[in-house]
Amino acid sequence: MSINTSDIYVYMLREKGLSGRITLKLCKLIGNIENIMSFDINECIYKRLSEGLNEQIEEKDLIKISSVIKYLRKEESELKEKAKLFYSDLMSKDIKWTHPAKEDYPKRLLNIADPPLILFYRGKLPEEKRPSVAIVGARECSSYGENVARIFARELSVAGVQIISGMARGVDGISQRNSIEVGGATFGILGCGVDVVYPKENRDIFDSILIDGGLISEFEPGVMPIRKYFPSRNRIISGLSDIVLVVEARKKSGTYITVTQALEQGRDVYAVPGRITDALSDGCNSLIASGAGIALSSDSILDELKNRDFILGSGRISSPNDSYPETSDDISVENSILKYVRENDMTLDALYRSFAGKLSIEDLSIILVDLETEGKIKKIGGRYTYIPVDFT
Amino acid sequence: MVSYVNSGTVYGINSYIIGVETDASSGLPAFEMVGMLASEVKEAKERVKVSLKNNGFSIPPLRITVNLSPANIRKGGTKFDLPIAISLLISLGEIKQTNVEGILFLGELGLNGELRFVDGVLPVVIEAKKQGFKKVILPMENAYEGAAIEGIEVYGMEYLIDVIRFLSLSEEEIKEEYQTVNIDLDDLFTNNQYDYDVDFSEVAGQSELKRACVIAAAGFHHMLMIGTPGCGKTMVAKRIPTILPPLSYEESLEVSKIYSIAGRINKFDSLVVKRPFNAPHHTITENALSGGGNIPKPGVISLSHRGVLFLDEAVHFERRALEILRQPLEDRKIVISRSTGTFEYPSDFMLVAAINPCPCGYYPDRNKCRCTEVQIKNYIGKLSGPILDRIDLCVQTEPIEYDNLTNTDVHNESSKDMREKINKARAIQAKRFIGTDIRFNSEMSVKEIERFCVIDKKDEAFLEKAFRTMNLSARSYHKLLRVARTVADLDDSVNIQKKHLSEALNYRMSSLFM
Repeated sequence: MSINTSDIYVYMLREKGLSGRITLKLCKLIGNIENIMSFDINECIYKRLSEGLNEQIEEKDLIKISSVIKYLRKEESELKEKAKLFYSDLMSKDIKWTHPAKEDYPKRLLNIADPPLILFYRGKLPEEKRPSVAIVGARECSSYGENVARIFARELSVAGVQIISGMARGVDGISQRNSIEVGGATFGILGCGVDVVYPKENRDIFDSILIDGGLISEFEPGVMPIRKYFPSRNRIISGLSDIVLVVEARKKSGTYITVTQALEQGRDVYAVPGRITDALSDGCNSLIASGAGIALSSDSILDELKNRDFILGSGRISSPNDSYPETSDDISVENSILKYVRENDMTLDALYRSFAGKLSIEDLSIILVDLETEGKIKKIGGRYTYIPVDFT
Repeated sequence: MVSYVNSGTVYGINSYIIGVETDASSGLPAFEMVGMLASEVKEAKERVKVSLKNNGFSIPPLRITVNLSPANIRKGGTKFDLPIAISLLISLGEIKQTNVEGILFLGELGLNGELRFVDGVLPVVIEAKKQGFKKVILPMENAYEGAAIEGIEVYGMEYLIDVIRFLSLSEEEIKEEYQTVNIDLDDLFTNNQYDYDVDFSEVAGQSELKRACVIAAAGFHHMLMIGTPGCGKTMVAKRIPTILPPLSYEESLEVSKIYSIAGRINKFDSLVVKRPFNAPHHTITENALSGGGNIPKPGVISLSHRGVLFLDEAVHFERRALEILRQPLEDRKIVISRSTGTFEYPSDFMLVAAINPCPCGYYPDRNKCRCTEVQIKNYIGKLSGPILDRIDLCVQTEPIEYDNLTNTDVHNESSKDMREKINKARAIQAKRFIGTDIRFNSEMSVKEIERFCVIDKKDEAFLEKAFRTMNLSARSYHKLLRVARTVADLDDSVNIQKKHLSEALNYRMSSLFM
């Protein structure tokens, strides 16, 4: 990557506190950002009056722009030096950048209320032609959320959808990890610098994500994650995606903020339904109640994307219900156990009671461990939980 | 004339025969006591003087010197009152020196001449028998403790005057007038060993936990119980002693010695025949756990020797207290160093630890629990170094549902049923480890594991697959084999089969905690 004049000017604007939204308007106004130094507010106001540019730019924005440019003119040489240093530092760290004046700036972000001025990234940026879906959800998700995130991430990735998420613990990380595992493109939007590994649990995917996807942030490299950065990070997650899929969310949660922003940005929101008694499904269910799309399988999402003329393969690896044969003649103990565990996460004791003493606790534990070894169920804490799809 | 009377004391876990010498000669009247004495021993002279006076013996104004030898062993406790009194009487010519030969005396004196309860009788009696003493004279309250040792005559006395009379009689007259104290050891062991007021049949549901207890008790494996508050961890732990294999006579002696030194044997009680169960509070200090004092008395971990040490809310114990457990868990003994010397107490216990699954206590119920994995890891991580590495069995439970409490159809296994299974497995282990120091499967080192825990080639593949899917560490491999060996023993199977491995795997430590 090389540094060109537009980079320098964008840096200068950013340094003087001009937002992405106004910069975008400024670019439209002056055509090329390199003309910025010859910007004349009076000319603009005249133009505005005569040519009727009202809708594009408001007067207060023009005043802001002109005051910023006044500073630019005053400190031009200093700022240019600073900019060069800044960009060469990025290059030495192998971090790339983009801004609205560049060709590769994600088009999806151009129509959101507050697009970021400079995006720092490692790896790639999402492709415009390919659909992208954000998978978001609770950090402390249940085994249900874990399973659902895994299935959707895998199937959507296989179909060619780019997965956008926040690299957080729980649903975010699980979706991205699984997307990587099936060779999908996934993009992690960070609430810290792109060279900061957070959270530590996902350290392993911070490298592998770069192969087909990327890490993106509007924060400068080295910025540490702070809670208050996350909502602004969330607007980029929803901004970069065509559809936002909510896997598991409490009613009051960060995920809910993402959803609100997605709706403001005009993105479609899909939610995975859950039991009404589960606190973690509260958010999703009430989203559905207020009109969100119902994501019953990856097909729900893929169909919607196909309607928008995206070209997609089939994502279906298997449906959540496929791996369990529903035939009534199969009444082996293993299948009865799977049936119980599929309905509910269960402890060994609960299963023992379900069999009402027909199986000893010893035999039951033996069968459970065998099923676990085969990858059909998983023990989390004291509970056995069903793994819907066998990808191994 | 210098008199010489035998007594004994304990120093750490070791017991010594102590000679009490008294010289009464003319000179400036005085009563001196020497021989590295603790203050309670020095006070003995007042008790001795007054009780002799009250029993009709006047002490003439002589220069009386009492020496307790060997003088390089520090002597504490009140058990020297009686030997000092007898020794003094001999030097005053009231009793013949020849009459005390072969007799060992222990006991505290009251001012009226009453003989009172003292600590550390059992180890001294054992030492006395070893050194060839014929008779021991003890306070009545201690007599049953001493009587547990066969091959030495134990007499229990209530008053000093009885002892003095005893010493004036001939052998035949003694036989007529005094009776040795005897206890029926068989009766003691058979009738009292499982005399508990709790039983496993009171635990409704929790079959997995009960099964884990059976395996743990059969192989003496350390066990970790993880469970939400109120799921019955403490209730189950309290019942573990009821299913442990019976204490043998030798084991009982070891335990009783420690209890005797700690002064924990009650008046008129004999040997400790029940496996100890100790549940220290989580605020316990390291000294209380390891054994404290200038000459350390046994701590809780030694008092749990051959029994159960139950750490409820184990993560809330102080880090320093938990660190103390390292050595006993590894070497089955604790070595305490003080300025007075180095003391070693046996502490071969079965550790049962109970913890909540996470700081809030409800993981994996995500409706209630919002703890992050890091929080959970940190929470349990407090145990990791000293304890988790040495725990073989882990079981996570949840509270049972209401219908289980009221449902009388389901048979809740009783302690007796469980004990029968365990005793069979215990017998197999005894046979297997004959001629070695090992008593239980949990004590097997890698060498023994390789010898006794052979698994089939085809099962090795299964094990490998299980390790991969369950994300287990190499460290858990040997733990797993030890537990599988016990499971196979419970099943009366010579070889470890796949089903035994499977069951052992069910009680593995979750990789989340390691």
